[in-house]
Amino acid sequence: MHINCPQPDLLNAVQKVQRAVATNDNLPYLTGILIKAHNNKLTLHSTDLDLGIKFSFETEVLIEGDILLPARIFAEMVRKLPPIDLSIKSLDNNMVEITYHQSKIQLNCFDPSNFPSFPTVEASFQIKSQANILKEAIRKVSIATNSDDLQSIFNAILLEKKQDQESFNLVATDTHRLAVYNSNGIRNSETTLKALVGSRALNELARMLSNDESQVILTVGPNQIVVEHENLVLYARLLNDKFPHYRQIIPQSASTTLKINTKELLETTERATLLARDELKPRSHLVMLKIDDTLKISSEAAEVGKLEEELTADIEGQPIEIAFNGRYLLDTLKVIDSQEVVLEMQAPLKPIVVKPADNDNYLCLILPVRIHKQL
Amino acid sequence: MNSNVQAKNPGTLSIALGELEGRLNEVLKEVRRLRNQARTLEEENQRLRAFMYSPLEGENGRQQLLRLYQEGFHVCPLHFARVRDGQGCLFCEGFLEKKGAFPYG
Repeated sequence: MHINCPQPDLLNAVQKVQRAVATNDNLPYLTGILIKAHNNKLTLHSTDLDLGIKFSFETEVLIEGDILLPARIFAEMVRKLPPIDLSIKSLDNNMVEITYHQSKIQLNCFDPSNFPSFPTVEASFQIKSQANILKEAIRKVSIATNSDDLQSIFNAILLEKKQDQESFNLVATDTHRLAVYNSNGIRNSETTLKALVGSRALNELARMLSNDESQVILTVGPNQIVVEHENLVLYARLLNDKFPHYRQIIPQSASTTLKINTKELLETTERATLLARDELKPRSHLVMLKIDDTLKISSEAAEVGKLEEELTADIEGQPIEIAFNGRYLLDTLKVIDSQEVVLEMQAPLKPIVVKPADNDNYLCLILPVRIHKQL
Repeated sequence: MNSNVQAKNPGTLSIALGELEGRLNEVLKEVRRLRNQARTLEEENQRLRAFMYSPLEGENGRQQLLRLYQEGFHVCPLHFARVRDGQGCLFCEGFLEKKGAFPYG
């Protein structure tokens, strides 16, 4: 193989595929990046067998061929090279030579025939979306995934759609909260086509998607999902587990409704959560919401102090006192872009619904916490 | 190649094989021990489950589920009897509410 390519193009490609390179060296060739040079096109591949990324770009190919380079050192080297044209040539004995200016680097590489080929996925169903919409959807629901157990359904995002419709749902839960996004407004009707994808794969996808209206095609097969966007192809294994029936836990009515400025509530919740940090229970940031004619937010930590803030809000319905993990509300408010947010409550211990005021395509359910007063 | 090694150092190969056999025996012994331990733990687990799921005196099915939930176990169909992480579970509470026994609300 012999190619000439500009360093910025190569660096961009390497940075994209590097995220799927295996981190442990049980299978050493998975710690490499496979580079294929054919038809004046360079295609970089990487996989850790759960996630695979393929990225192509046009370049000058003098001699076609494949090389498998150790990812860590190659990526670091490309990052540190000057932004000029590089010549990359494979030598005998599994060596690769990178030439720039009057300098050259020789790197040992693996046998490219050891690298696994990417699967051909037979489509069970397909979703076509815009890059910016999908990116936003993933960002909004991935807040409800739990990052402790990578193979759990609580670290996965459910992708679902109806047979004849273009709109799709993304759903995630860690059992304490549930986030639902629908590209066309949330409807409480059953969907027939479903796939459970690890949140890591979708977060990597969101990171690489451009923030524009370019098309993204998601092809879901029996065991894999393939996402195609411009020069990028991402493969991920589907989880075989069942996702809980989430529709039945979404409240259909509310006894108290609150409409409030998102930024104000976010800033107050940030302050309240900061104070509610519990050294003994690091995940429990207990924040109290007291609603009657006004809205009061309070929190306290035994040896730190307490906070109470009153906020202006449109309040409808019954007075209520409700306690919850402030961190969960904070995560939700950070992904809501609308100027105003709506909080719907039924009872002190039933889930709170948080959603944007001007858009019905997203909601997040937060389970309150029982506090001593409510015993 | 092996026969060459044996011819040059007749004792080396048999010593190496002896060492390998010794190590394999140790590994087999450990596997047997772990298998026995796993069996004991499974039996213990079964006894504990039977004890846990048996209703207390005067307790009906709903109350039993509620008690399990309050004792820190999932009662939702998907994760039934798995340990919860201390915070509530939306699906357990949804399930209990459907059964007419919402825990606290």
